[in-house]
Amino acid sequence: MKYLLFISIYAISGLWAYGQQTVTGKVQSLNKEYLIGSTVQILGKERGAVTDLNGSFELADVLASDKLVFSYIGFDTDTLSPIFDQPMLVILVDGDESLEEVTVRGRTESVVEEAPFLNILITEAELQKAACCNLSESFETNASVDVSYADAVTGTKMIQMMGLDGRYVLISREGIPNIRGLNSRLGLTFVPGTWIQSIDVGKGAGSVINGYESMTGQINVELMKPEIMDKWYLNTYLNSFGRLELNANHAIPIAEKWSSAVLFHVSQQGTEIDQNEDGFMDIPKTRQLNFLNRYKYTGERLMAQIGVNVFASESAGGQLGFGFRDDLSTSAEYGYELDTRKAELFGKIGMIYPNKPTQSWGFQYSLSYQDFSGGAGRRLYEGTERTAYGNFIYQNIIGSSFHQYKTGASFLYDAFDESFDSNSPNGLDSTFIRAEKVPGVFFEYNFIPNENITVVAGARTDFHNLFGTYFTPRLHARWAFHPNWTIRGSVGKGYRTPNALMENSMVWVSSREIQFLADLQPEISWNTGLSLVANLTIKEKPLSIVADYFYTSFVNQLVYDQDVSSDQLVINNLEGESFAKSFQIEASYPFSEKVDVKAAYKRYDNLMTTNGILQQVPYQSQDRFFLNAAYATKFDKWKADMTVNWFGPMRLPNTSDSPMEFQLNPESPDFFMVNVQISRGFRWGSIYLGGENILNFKQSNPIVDPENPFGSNFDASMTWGPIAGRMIYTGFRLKI
Amino acid sequence: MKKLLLSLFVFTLGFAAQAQVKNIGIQTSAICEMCKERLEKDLTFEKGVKSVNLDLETKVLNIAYINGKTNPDVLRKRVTMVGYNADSLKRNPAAYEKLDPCCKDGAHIDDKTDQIKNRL
Repeated sequence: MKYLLFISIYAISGLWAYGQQTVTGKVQSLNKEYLIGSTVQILGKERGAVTDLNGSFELADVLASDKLVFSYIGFDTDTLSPIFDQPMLVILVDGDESLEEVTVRGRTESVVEEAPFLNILITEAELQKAACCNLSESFETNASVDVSYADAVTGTKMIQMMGLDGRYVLISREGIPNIRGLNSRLGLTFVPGTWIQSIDVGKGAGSVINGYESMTGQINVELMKPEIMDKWYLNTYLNSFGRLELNANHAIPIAEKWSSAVLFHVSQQGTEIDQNEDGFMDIPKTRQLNFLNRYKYTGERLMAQIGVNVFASESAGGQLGFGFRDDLSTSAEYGYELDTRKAELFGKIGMIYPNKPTQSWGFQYSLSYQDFSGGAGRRLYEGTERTAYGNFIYQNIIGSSFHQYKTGASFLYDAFDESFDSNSPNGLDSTFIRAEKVPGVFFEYNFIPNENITVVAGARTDFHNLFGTYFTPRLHARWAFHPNWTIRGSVGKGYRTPNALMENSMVWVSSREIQFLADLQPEISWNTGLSLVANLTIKEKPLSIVADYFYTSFVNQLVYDQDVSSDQLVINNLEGESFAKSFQIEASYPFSEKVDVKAAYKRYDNLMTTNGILQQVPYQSQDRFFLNAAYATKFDKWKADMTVNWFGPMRLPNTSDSPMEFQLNPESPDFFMVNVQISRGFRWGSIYLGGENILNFKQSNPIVDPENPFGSNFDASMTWGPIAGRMIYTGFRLKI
Repeated sequence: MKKLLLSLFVFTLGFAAQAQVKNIGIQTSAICEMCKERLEKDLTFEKGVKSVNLDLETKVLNIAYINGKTNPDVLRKRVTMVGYNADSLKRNPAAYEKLDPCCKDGAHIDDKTDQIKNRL
């Protein structure tokens, strides 16, 4: 158990295996008797140690942010922060006569207490509340990340944070920026849910260590770790739309310090579903093969890993009958197609110094190639992206552990080659080629005067070959001004390069003419935020309340304007104002040992200048409610879950210039989405049965003029709600 | 769908209530929190078992089970298969070998008692 090393909370800051140190100490009773065989556990992790004959313990790879739980039968349990620079002396007090059960049962989703950022950790148990399917759906039981519907044909689910598109969130896989560039829209679907061990959701501009792209937040995904995962993990999934999935994870121990893992996923959606009978598939047919293999070395001082991830995916949608192999430009049916392949080599290497525990360095890298081929109707798209990324991080202290710093340098090479052919006389017909070469340096200073205060001040400078120098300052502060209350504040600048064609793939599926007026400029924003976390005790149970407010202001934004005309999509740099204000309040409370309830209210005021008017961003509910009720018996023998989302009305793009019968209401109606799931655990795993959208709510007429897809009024891009109705799924998980 | 689930739930409850629930205490050789966790988890998923609780002070594993679905002999046998003695039944040696070091003989309380005795 002791060797099952490091699940890193620090991974959100890109620091894999850094800041992990060994804690030693003794556990005694009040009358100075050593307590032999008392347990020391890291809160929320399945790791710990037991004191020996002298009451001493040693626990390796502890993070400063960890909490240690000391327990001994007949004594009161104590939870303490680790001390690294000297042995800890822990004194446990005799407990009451009644020996209360010591349960260290981490919540499945919680705010990371010690983090300077508002950081929510979603564990595997939380992810299993919704069995399907990939990263885009992993947030369905989480209030901070919204899942939305992209369009009526491509079937892509999108995420949003603070009411802004997911492309403004830096999504990394174990600290390496991963879902970005051309992949920013579809990338979430290539991270299978069963591969994920945990997800960190950081709200607000993130740490400078990971780059300048976290404009509204950071999401870091930790995959199953070879050294701690089950030897075999098999999962099947089948749903009423005909989607079939098979996932297999396998851990291969090689030697004491070497471990390896294979993660495999294959899925197919072969059935054509058209519940609204408009002649178009509600979700496209898809098939995907996805494979990841990595090797990990964990030594006393050196840690390294190297891995590959390859996948291929095809989708075919549009009018019924359009097949995977049909040719878009000649097909009689209106088709939609998107095929993509990616190959990636990634790795990390890091060093810690046992006699200088505050010092460490690490280097992470990734090389990848991805291509795309597809289109909609007669529009054809081809794109390739080649990326090389490296990030070197050095960490140490200045004088004492009150002053810590991280510094380093990064390099990004990102080459794009895209072509778009509208096959119409006035349509967009261009190639877009660019290569970004961005070396950068960064420094981040952490001031930790005591356990209640953390201040993180960071800055980075990047030298972009196309857009000049980016200077990115970020400041984060945390103050636990009361044992139960913590306030956090953050401010930071962010940049990203937009990829207008892929980010608008929903507009391909319309008769809108794509007007590209922009001279490509980076998007630049400032994000500021304030949050308050309260951990109260009501009737001896923990009530947790999180309230946060974030303000994002765009200095420049690439605006995708559907308001100018219902026949056009106008792409241009922001002229005027664009900002987003988001407020969220969330409370969670265990009503009993078995019932946990979480509720949230969200308010978004996102205004952007489109068609010369500062107005609400389309397809955005300004008000939303969220409720999740979970029931679980001991050891999850029985589990039941229900998630309710209420979406308030959304503004729809201006369609007043369309013929009368094709005009849309200025606003969508409000609606509810309800998902449920029941699972039964066994010694070998579990079986589950669930339903999504069980109220069977559907957007009526999601496609404008579906009878004439090649005509001038056709538009499948104006989607605000679910296209497909109720879906029932079942499957099992087998762990050996 | 909701009605169906509800009726299924009520049906299950009704069924469970009809069956006779019996309690048994099995003297085990469990010594620490980890033993407790392992035994309780394993027995929770044993057929016919309603609830499990190990009292670490007395090392007695209290099980509520449905009479007819399982019986004390089966439950004791299962405890030995997890790696612990159950009343007069000896633990399965292979299962014992697989236990964490802290769950093995001499890792905890016995030493502690000796230690305290020595000190006294």
